[in-house]
Amino acid sequence: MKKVKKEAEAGRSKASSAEKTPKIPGAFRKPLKKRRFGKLIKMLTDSGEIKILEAAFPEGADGRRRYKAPAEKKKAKEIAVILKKVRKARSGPRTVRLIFVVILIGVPVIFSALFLDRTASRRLEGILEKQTGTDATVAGLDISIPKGSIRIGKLALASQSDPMIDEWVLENLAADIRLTSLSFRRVIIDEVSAEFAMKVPRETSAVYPGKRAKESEEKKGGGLSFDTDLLPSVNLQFDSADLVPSMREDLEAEYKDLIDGLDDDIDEAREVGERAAELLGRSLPGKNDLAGWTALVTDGKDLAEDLKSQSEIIEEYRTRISRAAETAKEASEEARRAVEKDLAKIEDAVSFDRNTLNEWLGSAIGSYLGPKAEVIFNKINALRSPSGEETRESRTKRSEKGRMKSGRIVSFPVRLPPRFSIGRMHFSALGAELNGTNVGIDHDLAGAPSVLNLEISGMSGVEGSLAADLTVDGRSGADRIIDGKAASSGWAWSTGSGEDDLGGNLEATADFFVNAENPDLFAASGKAVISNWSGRLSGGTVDIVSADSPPLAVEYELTIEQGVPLLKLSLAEGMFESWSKALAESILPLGAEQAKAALLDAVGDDLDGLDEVLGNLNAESADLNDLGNLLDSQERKLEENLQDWTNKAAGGMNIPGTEDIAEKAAKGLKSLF
Amino acid sequence: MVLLFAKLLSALTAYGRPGRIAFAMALGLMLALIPGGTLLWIILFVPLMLVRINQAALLGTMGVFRLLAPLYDPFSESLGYRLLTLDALYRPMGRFLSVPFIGWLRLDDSFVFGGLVLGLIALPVAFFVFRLLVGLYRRFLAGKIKAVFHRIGAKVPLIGRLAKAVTAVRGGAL
Repeated sequence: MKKVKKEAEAGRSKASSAEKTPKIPGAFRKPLKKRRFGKLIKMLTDSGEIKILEAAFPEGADGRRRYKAPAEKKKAKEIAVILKKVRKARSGPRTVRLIFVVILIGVPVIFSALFLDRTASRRLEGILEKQTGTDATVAGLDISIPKGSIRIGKLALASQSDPMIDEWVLENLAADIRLTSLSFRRVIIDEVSAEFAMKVPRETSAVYPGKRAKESEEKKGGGLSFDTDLLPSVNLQFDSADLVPSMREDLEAEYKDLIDGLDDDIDEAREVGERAAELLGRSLPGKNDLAGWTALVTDGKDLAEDLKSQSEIIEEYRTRISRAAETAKEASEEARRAVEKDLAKIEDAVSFDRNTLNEWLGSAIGSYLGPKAEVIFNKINALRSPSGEETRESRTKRSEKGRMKSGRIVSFPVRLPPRFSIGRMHFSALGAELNGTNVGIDHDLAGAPSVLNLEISGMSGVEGSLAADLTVDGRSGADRIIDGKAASSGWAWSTGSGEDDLGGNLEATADFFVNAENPDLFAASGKAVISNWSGRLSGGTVDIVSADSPPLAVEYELTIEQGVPLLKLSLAEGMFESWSKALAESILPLGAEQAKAALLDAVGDDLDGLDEVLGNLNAESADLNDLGNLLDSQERKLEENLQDWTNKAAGGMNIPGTEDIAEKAAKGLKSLF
Repeated sequence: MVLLFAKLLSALTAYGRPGRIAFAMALGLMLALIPGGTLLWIILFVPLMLVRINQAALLGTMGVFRLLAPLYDPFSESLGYRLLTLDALYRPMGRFLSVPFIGWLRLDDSFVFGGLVLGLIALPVAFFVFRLLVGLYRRFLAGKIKAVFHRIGAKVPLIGRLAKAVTAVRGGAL
């Protein structure tokens, strides 16, 4: 062994002494066992290379082969190259690639662990601000991937009219996702809860994204935001948007320049013209008035010069105006062309194709990951489709020609979690509470139905309360797919806003269900009670319903089968009695009075006639009474006179039966009438 | 195409034992049989890229057999469907698919399952066939082909490029 080591050291020292001698991989510097050398030889295909290596590794006395560098450097180099390649082709992991993969996976994981909350918070704010156009606040965001939990302390959207108010606030949002469900390509949220509020005062003023965007837009210049209902917001660069205003500005400036001096110059030219006319109309001086003629000529010359300069100025104006008109015409045509081009661009943007999609993607990548990422994306995109746009038809054709995409899916009795399920749910907002258990789909897999409970009470602006329970059971063998109960009370209603419009408080209950046997049939039944009547309902001259009316309870049954509704209504027990009593007490007396009045109207004349007859009769009766009285008195007087007369005829003799005689006389007188 | 062909040729003459090269080729065939883009394919492919395997042989074989995919795809799909619809497999497969993460492998898809089964069956068979072919090639053809390439390469640029590519990828460099 010592000898071997010494030889190896000697070999090494010899190799190091010769600086230019190529090094072979360390694994081959040690003595190689026969088996290992055999393996090495087997890795070679070229018989020439095999011979070289056999010569370079002579077999020692111990049967091992040791590397012996050849004297010829070229050969040594060749051996080194072969051995390096053989070494490279060894088995085992590729360390560099492995490290690269570890970094590739590890860096995002570490990054997420350290900065995920902050990054996600910022990203969420950005998305919300882009979508809503108002200031969004995300606070207390905590994402724990190992636990599968997401917490948001506060998510607020500021009011667009008042910067000190948050219009919508979501607080204490907590969601726990069951990570194991993801291993089955399913999503199960064990618990989710949130509180919702509106119009909450802010501590600091909102900073609207529109302002920021506008400022950055102003800085950047160009480009118009292109937003329609059909398309996502796209920032297209329109040439005409910049070109046309700048053209207009230039032309206006030129026109202003032109016009500025023109009026003065025109006035001046007119004045010169007038001066010329005056001069021409002036009376000529005498033949001998030399001075006069001289003055006239001097004036004429001056005037001619002025006229010349003015006409030049005017000519210059004409040229400039003509040139400006030409420029304006060209600019107008150019502007129109630019606008038409932009209109075509909009048309292109509206039609959805691969290029548009790529543009959008590029723009999205640019906005989220920066301009460099956008450039990289565009380059990759260009490499992907070097021969231009690939049509849908060609893609289809290719897929038809190429491999199959998928086969047939075979069902197995797999025990999977439901595709989507929320174990427990709790939302509260403005006096309303929504609770749920096992909310989701695939009830068979979940092993339980979905149960939802809604309670509304004390909601601002709403007087009534509502409580509803809903059970959705999609399990095979379940009696009812939907089963629910709802009860409400204190809900004010009115047929209008006037004082006389009928209204009151509504209290209602409902039991509804959909049977598994007949899923097309929805059945609901319950009771509705209207109380505290307000306003009135008139039936002709009579108020059927008024504030004094008793509560009205109606029982109903509603069925909807294949879209055809059928409603049955009936008065609740005791309603008939209470309403008939109420009607008897209020309507009947009033009706009697009205009947009386109507009767009186109808028989009034007749009654008057009767009264008149009665009066006449009474008068006649009075006359008769008077006459009777007179006769009575006369009778009495006659009786008195007959008595007296009888007494006087008998000469004092007592004649018997004088009463019979008086009676006979009275009878005789009565017959006279 | 030139590179693919070059890879395959170079793999046959690469520095490595014929068995390892044949194994890499057999794995390439298996990867070609399994539909690409599935998680199953990725799970098999990525680790192979991280170990010292003759990647030229693997990728070359995979590329060549992928070209033939339209021919054997219907067969592997129908094989997968037949197997998946076997009564004996109904419950065990149900239990197997109930294992976490297995659902992601799309093994209930007849095409994926057929490709996997065919690939697993083909792996040992292909290994021995390729082992034999590599041995024979190295023994009888490698030298001659190399010489032919070098001779023609001087005159025809395309062949010259091919020979260059063969040299470049030799030893599983690619």
